[in-house]
Amino acid sequence: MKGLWTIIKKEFSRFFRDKKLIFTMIFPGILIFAIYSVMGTVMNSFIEEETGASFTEMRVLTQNPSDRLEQLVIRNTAHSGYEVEFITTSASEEDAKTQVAEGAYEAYLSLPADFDELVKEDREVVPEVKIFYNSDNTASSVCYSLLTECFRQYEEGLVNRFNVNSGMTNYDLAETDLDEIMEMMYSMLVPFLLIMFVVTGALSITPESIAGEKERGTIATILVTPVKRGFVALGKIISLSVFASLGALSSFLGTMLSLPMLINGSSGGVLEGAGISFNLFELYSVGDIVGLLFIVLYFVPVMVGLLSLISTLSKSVKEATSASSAVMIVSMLVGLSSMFGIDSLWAAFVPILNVAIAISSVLSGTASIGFILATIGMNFVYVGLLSLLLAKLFGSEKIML
Amino acid sequence: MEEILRVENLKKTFPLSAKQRKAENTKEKRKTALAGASFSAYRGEIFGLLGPNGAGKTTTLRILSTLIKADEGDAFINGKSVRREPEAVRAQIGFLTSELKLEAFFSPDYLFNFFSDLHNVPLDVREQRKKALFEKFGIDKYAFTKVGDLSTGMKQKVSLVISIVQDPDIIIFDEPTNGLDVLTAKVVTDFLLELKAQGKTIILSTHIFSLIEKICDRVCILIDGKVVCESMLKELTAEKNLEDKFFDIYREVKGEEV
Ligand SMILES: Nc1ncnc2c1ncn2[C@@H]1O[C@H](COP(=O)(O)OP(=O)(O)OP(=O)(O)O)[C@@H](O)[C@H]1O
Ligand SMILES: [Mg+2]
Repeated sequence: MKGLWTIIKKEFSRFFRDKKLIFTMIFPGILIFAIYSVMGTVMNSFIEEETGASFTEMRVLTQNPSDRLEQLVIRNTAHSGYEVEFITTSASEEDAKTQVAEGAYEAYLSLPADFDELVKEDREVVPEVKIFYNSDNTASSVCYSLLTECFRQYEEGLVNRFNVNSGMTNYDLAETDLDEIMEMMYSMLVPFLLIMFVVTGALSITPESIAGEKERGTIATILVTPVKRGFVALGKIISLSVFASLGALSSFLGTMLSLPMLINGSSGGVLEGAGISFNLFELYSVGDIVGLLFIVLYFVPVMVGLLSLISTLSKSVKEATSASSAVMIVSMLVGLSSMFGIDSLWAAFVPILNVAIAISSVLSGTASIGFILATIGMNFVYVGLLSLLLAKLFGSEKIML
Repeated sequence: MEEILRVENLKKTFPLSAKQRKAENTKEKRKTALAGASFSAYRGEIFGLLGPNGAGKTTTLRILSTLIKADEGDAFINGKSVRREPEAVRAQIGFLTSELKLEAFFSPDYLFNFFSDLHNVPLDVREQRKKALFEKFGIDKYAFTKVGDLSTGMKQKVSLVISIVQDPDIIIFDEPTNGLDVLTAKVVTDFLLELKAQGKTIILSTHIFSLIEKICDRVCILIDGKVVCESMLKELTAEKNLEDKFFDIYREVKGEEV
């Protein structure tokens, strides 16, 4: 056992003392985070600049406020995430129009004085309502359609024969709220991403570490010491798994922490304003995330073992890398296939596919504990088999020399 | 005299790839490297394996170090079979050949510690040995320099030192002075004599006659994978120098002019 520990210690020294190696491992995650955050922020500020204000809050200038209209607006916006504020002004119509054109306000509402009183009486000449807005500005357009809808309801209300959906209740009974749509999106996207990150993490170090050492003749130096060859193989798998996990974790965190900014940014901040959560860490419970980590934790050594096997059988780093890339493409396709909602238990025995399905089921809230345990168990078996095979190959002169 | 190494009828063939077959201009699927080699070495001597290029010297030493397995035959080092007890054999020997490389990223100091750990050398012993060996070979100045940044000669000295971290009784060196300048080569040969004085057994291979004449007690001549002569150096060179004697033997075996 001491020999195993010595090998692992050496691999860790190799990795953690080499700034370049750590950098290539952690960098993709940082890069993803930076790109998504910047894109999100840029998109958000771009949209904000265009709309002139935060999208969720709309300010309407008016000279003569109407209580009835304001009530309708409050009712209609109750479940939408928008907020409309009426600001009474004594400015001239020309000044008010300029302010809307310049984007200081979303709309200017011109009503006759005592509008609410006026409309109660039957008249030959009906009162004139003017809504000035700016269609170049998204928020202003939204505000305009909101106001016209409220006026239409107001007008209908005047000849009141019946009320339709006039209370404060949420009348939409659809069960899929936006949170669930986000969960669905994650359950399709995350298996693919996680598998890709694990494979790229393993791919960026395994060929170099195994085929490279073979090619350079440094592993033979270890093979003439009394250390068990199985330990040399196992030491590699354990260490490389730790490094690959770090790389995968970095990419995953980078994506998951910045993706919300990207989604929110591309909606101009509306989603956030509407109180919709799209942060993985808010959508899911700690238990779900821990379950996810467990599944991935048992998957990393399988991938590392598989790529180690390929690297051991290869004559050069180049050969190992190109053969491993083929594995990467297949794994990513399998990662995508979790979207088809396969859920029969036999899938738990298919490497990679079982992981994709397990991750997907945790994120869509349809996880079965049997399937997850079978997946983890099978991965355990795969790692065992791969380690045995590698130990055998490390003892073979045809392979190692 | 105590027999410490016994080599019995070692045979080894290598598969030839299509490319190798073309390069060697042969249709044979396998190349015979050793065709039944047997010899013995005794405690406390420097034993020289002499032979031309391709004679099978490196192959023999790789089998002794358990790096590769013989097709037939066996060898016993201190009574341990290289075939059946490879780990026990590896614990007893120090093995140096040019194909064993050190990881360029690490320093001599780190590698000395790493290989000492693999050989279960106690910490205090390790530090003492490291200091003595590094000083002797002038590695102390470069103890913390990456091996990749060292000169070829210094690399070779580090490899030599690392190959004997556990202070083995049997030392197997393949062409130990190859590629070294005369000064460095002398440091190495002096060191081998010093090890002998400590009672170690040294098995070395070379095609350099002068090296054998300078330090070996016994010599074994290998030609085409067969032992054609095994004798005390003194007896072999009683009437002629080693080089002339070698050509006599070579002509006799090959039946041709050199
Ligand atoms: N891995 C291998 N594959 C094919 N042939 C090999 C292999 N290793 C050695 N040989 C062949 O076996 C024969 C013996 O090789 P070996 O390296 O033992 O010779 P040597 O005596 O050490 O020669 P040199 O003085 O050149 O080092 C040579 O003909 C060599 O070409
Ligand atoms: Mg040789």
